Formats: sequence, structure tokens, C-alpha cells
Amino acid sequence: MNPIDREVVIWLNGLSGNVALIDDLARVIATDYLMPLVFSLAMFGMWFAGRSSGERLRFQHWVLIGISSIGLSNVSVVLINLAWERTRPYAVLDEIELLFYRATDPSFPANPVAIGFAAGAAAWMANRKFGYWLFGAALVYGLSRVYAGVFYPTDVLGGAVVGVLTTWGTTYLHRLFQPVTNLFVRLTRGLALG
Amino acid sequence: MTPDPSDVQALFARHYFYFAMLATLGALQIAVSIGGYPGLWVLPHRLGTRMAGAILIIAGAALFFMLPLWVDGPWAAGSVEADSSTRQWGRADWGDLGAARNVNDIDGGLSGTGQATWFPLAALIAFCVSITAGAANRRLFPARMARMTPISPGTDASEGIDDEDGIALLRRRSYPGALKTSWRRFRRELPADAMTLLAQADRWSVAFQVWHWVLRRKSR
Repeated sequence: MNPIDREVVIWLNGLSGNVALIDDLARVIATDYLMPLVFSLAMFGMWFAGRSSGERLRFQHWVLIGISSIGLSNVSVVLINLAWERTRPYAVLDEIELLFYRATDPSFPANPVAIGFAAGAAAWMANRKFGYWLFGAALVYGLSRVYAGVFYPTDVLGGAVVGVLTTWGTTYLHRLFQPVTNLFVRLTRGLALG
Repeated sequence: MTPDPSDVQALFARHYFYFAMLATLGALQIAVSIGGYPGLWVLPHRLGTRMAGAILIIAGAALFFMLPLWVDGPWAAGSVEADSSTRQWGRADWGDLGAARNVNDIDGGLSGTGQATWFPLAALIAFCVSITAGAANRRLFPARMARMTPISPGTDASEGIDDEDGIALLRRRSYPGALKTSWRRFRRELPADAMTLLAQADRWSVAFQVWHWVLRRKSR
């Protein structure tokens, strides 16, 4: 085990148990429901947020890439898990006070962080400021899980790299399937949905 | 007795759906107030619509995380610990709220696939609510809604894009009117649009390569 990983997860998780409000906040942020919904809402909202036709088309293009990359980052994480089954910190380190349920899948790379960074990278391409907000949200999500004792910091880092690389790869995949995606956007315009 | 995972899953799915529905409606309201599409606003006022959107998102999250106080589930007071397989059925107390929703999907929590199923349905309902509210606003406040056309159609001509269909029409019309015009135009222009998009497609495109291969064969 990487000694820095060990020290950081023990230090961050060691902060728990002092202020109940912070522990509860970390548990809420770390849930499987809040932040994934935030990333989905970001993609959903971006679809409609363009002020002009050009901006709307650009946003919708990146929403389609973002949604695809969220799905593909899940696949990438599963493939990496097949190659390396890293045990969760709570299962290895006695000092960890677990604040989350006992996850059964490997910890590297952090799947929720990969999803967050995949959505963030797509949003960043459409609108820098919005992208930074999503990157921030994904980072907080990852850190809340380190605080809860279910991820190492390098899991979070790995998840971020997987998320960004998947989005980058998805842009090439998108080019491969042109003009199908453009026709899909045209269809949504025909249905007054895009 | 530990709860049956299928009971837990049904409960989580229902609560997640309420959360997703309120939150998607909220996100949609914020987005359409930014984009400037009064045909989808729940209120006949841009700032009011944006604030309503924020309130809906916060209300959805608050409802989801506070429901364990009033609804029986796998979070009975005193049984809420990190390990979600040893929970008891009942109502939570305030001290348990933070961890009440942390249930592994093998113990009945909602998996990513489950969330991916419920989210689009919630988004669809949110869109229908917005359409209805937008149409009602046009009927109830016609003068005010007529003034809510922040960008006149066709202003994107400089970008080479005609703005006379899709959600852009919701700046001046309600959804049924926009749908009728957009669909008619889509059907009329689809063959030409498809050819243009194909001709302009990236050289990486499989369809583009096949198309050019067919053209080369024909020209021989």
C-alpha cells in the first residue's frame, strides 16, 4: 500500500467523530443518490440552457457526449476492476471508523468520481465556469468518501483521470457516429424538445 | 428482524422518484429561465421561475433525506449504523438522518441502473408539468407573457442557424403550437438536412466514409 494513501485516509477519516454535523453532512454527500443526481441534473439542465441557437446546439452536443461518457466511464471502471481488485481501506486498516456501508466492489478507481469528472469534463467543454463547479462537486464527493473510509485518495485521483479520459475518448466516438447524433438533435428540435 | 431487500428497494425507488421529479423540475426551471423560454416557465416571471427552480431542488433533497422521520423503512431508530445489512424496520430519529439512506444496493438500496431508469421518467413528468404551467401562464397572463420574449426569433442568422423551430419557439408560443410547427418543418426538411449533415460529417464518420465510397463507385 502506498504510504501517502494510508496516511491521508487515516488522517482524514480520523477527523470524523468530533463534530456530528460534519459527519452527517459527509454521510449525506457520500450517499449513492445526491451527487449522481446533481450530475444528471447538470446534463439535463444544460440541454435547455442555451440562449441562442448556436449555444444551444453546442450545449446539446456536449450533453450527448457527457451522457455517453458517464455510461462509458462505468464500463472503464469495471474493466479496471477486473485487472486490479484493490481492497477498501476499512477492510485493511484497523484505524478506520466506517461511516458508510461496506461496499463489495474494489475501490480503485472511484466509480462515483469517474462519473462526476466525466460529466464535469463535458460541461467544461461547453462552459468553463459550469465545468469547474461540477469538477468541484465531484472532488467534494470523492473526499466525502475518503472521509467516510471507503476510498483512498489515489482512488479519487484515478476516478478523476478515468472520467476525463473517457470524455476525451467519447468525443472521438461521437465523431465516428456522425451524423447520427446530429440527426438525433435535429429530431429533438422537430419534437420541440431541443 | 432485518428487512426484506425487495421491500427496501420498492421504498427507495418511490422516494428517489419523488426526489428526482422535484429536482428535475427545479433544474429545468433554472435552465429555461437562463435560456429564456417562457413557454416552459412555471411562473410568468424570469427571476421568480429561477427562484422556484432552486426551491424545488432543495425541497426534493430535503424531502428525500427527511422522509425517514415520518415513513417506516430500514432505518429504525437505534439500528442505523454503517453496515446496512443489520438495519431494523421503523422510523428514524434526527440523529440517524445522515446515515439512513446509506443502504447498499444488495441490501435493497437503489442501484445505478435503477436510478438511470427512474430519472428519465421523472424528467419527462417535469417537462409535462412545465408545458402545462407555460400554457396556463400564456392563457392567464397574455400581456405579461408577450413581453417575455427576451430574444426575437431569427437573431442567430449571423450564426447561419434559423431559430424558427424547436424549443426556440417556446419564446413566443406554448408547447403544442411549437410542436406543430417544429414537426411540420422537421418532416419537410429531413431529407435535405440528412444530406447536408452527411456531407458535412467529420472524416472520422463511418457513415461519411460509406457515403463517399458509394459516390466513388457510382462515378466509375
